[in-house]
Amino acid sequence: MSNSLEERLKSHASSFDGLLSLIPAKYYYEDSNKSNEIREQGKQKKKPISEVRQDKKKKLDPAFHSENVETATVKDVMRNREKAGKGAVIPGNKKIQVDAQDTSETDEKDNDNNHNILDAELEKDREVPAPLKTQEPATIFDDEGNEIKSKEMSSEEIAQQKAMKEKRLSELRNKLTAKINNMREKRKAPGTNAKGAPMSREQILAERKRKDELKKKRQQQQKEKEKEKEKEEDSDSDDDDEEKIDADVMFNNIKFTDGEKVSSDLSSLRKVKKKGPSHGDFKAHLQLLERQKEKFSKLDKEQQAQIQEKARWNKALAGIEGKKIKDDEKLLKKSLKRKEVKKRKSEKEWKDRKETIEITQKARQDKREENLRLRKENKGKKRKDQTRLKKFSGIVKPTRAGFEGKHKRK
Amino acid sequence: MANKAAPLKKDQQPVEEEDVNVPKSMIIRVGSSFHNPSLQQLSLDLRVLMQPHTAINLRERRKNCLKDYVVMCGPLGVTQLMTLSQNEKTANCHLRLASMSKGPTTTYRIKEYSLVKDIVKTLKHPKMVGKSSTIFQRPPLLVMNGFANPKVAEPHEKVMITQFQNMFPPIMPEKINVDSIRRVLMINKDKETGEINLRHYAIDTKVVDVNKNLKKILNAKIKKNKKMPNLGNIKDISEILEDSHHLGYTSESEVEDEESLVQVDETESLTKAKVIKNEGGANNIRKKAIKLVELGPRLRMELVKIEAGVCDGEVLYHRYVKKSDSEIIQQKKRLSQKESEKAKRRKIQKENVDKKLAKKQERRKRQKEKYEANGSAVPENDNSADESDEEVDLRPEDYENDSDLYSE
Repeated sequence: MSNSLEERLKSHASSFDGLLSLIPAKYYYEDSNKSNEIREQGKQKKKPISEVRQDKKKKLDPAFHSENVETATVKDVMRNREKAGKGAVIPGNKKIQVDAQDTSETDEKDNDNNHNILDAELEKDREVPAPLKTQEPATIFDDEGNEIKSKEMSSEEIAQQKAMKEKRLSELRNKLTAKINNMREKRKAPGTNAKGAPMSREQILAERKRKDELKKKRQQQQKEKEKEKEKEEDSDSDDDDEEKIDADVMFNNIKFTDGEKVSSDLSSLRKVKKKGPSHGDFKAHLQLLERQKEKFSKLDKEQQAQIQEKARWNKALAGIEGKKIKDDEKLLKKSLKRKEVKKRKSEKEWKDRKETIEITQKARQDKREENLRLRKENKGKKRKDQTRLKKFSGIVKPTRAGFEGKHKRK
Repeated sequence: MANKAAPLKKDQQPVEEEDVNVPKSMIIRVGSSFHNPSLQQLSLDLRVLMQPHTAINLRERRKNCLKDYVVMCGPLGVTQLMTLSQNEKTANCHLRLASMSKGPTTTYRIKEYSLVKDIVKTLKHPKMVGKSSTIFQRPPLLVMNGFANPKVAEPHEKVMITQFQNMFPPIMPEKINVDSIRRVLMINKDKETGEINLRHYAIDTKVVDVNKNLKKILNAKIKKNKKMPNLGNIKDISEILEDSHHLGYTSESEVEDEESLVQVDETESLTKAKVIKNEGGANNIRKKAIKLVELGPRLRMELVKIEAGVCDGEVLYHRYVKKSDSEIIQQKKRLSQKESEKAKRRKIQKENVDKKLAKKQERRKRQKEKYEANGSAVPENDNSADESDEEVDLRPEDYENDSDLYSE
């Protein structure tokens, strides 16, 4: 057995591998799921038939064995972990790699010095501890000559390196705090020495309030803008002549159940709003007409003609759509009068009805009192001498002046 | 006399419309158009087109004048009156669309028209439908082409557009069943000449997703009356699938245009039994070809004028006659003069009637006194005759509803 160290190690490794491939993984690695499994045993659902069948078939597949936790051997698990894990870093190699990177980077940085100094320094900082860590394990693996080299690294040097590192770290920290302070001063944060920075709590609160108000104002403005836009869309088309849309094809009127209509070119929705006084309010209509007339009379002739022309066409369009335009003063007055007459008549009727009830009530009361009186008088009299009590039914209508009087019908 | 209308069968009954504000129309002939039988036929064809919300069985008499119809439109809820007329001198035909009850009226001169029967003759495969067919149970889809956008259109064009759109009830996207749209009314405006072409089509749909040749072979198996096509010339099955013209001839009904294909999800429209049957395929989306078959009538016409009232009133637009301001003022003067004369005559007439009435009453009074002096009763029949005379007397209140726009 005079093989080299490497050969010896390899042969050992292969024998270990052989052993590992015989041990099922579930005995070797601690299963973290195990306790959970026991807990959930009762809750487990029965697998569907198709899945059970699939599982059975899978058992015959060698690839499946290596992946499945229950059937895999320790060797399989190790191989899988090797695949999944990041490549192990051999300490010595890494240092060399990083150094090579660093030199190339510094070369680049020479060209533009002001490029992210902080980052570069941090990187360097990271590199420093690497050799420190690697030195110790290196001693373990080395057999003969290498051990001496590591011993040559004196404890003094290590201490020096440590001090250097601490110094650099503190420098970086200082830089960071300086930068943060700078920025705070720039935005006038509370507690800084900057001019205009709030010093007290009241000031902070006031500042907050001011900002809220500003925000509210901006929101309101936006809302108003949106409203205006909507209004422009709503307002009947007459003013926006400049926009030309050539949608040649048009269809029936399209109307939604909530009263919204689609414009004929299918480009926008508009809600049909009721403008002006209500349908039966003739008085308001008349007043509106009067106001319009007054406005109209103040305009010059050209404008008057324009308005008249527009009103004519609008009336025609309204007629087609089945809307009623109430702009005939004569008719309005007539309708108003009719309505008033109707109202007066019903008022009078109501009054009469009320009076009738009152009178009737009173008549009944009188009759009752009279009857009571008569009954008292009748006491102790013989039946044939008694005066008869009055009977009463029906209603008493109010008398009309000059009609019902003494003269009685036959 | 006219037969008593038999109660409608269940499938003939018109579909209930929830909305009260459905536009209704009446199509009538007026004037000398009675002498023209083809114009009469045109009015009948137009009625079929305007179904279902139209007076399909309306019978005009020569004695009826326009006013009779206008008066009846209010109580019947008719919103549009369409009149066909012919000028006695020039023999020009006119179609007037009048909105009830206070105008406006648009007048079109009909330059050309084809009746339904003419259209049927020209087509190779016409669709023969009676006026009570199910496709007339719903209003047609209106498609207008060539009109300016109403936002930028001239007012007279805007009136035209709105009038056409208001001939039919609005489409309610939430409620409408797409299957119920079975007809299309196309109105095309020639931008140069301003002429309006009106066409009326039925919408036909056909399932097309199966290869036609394959379908023939399948049909031979499924349907007893179909024969197996001759497969003698075919060397390979792939020829059937690739070459669509191989078996027999292409017919007119062949769908050539890919754009007219539409995918339709039939799950909703299928009956339950069918759905269950289809469950194996689990896919009810089918390709359907849409085709239009013309029903007629056709009209080619041009807008002549727009009036503010029902066949009268101020002229808002005229294609040929342009009047200057002074002329308009003169015309207005003339009209107002006419009106005042009319009022004057009416007043005189009323005075005369009153005088007559007073005279009659006086006579009655005298007669009564005379009879009382004689001591006998007033003869009954004389009295009743007088009363009936009084009843005939017209009172304006009774007719208020006919013309009063503002009555509730």
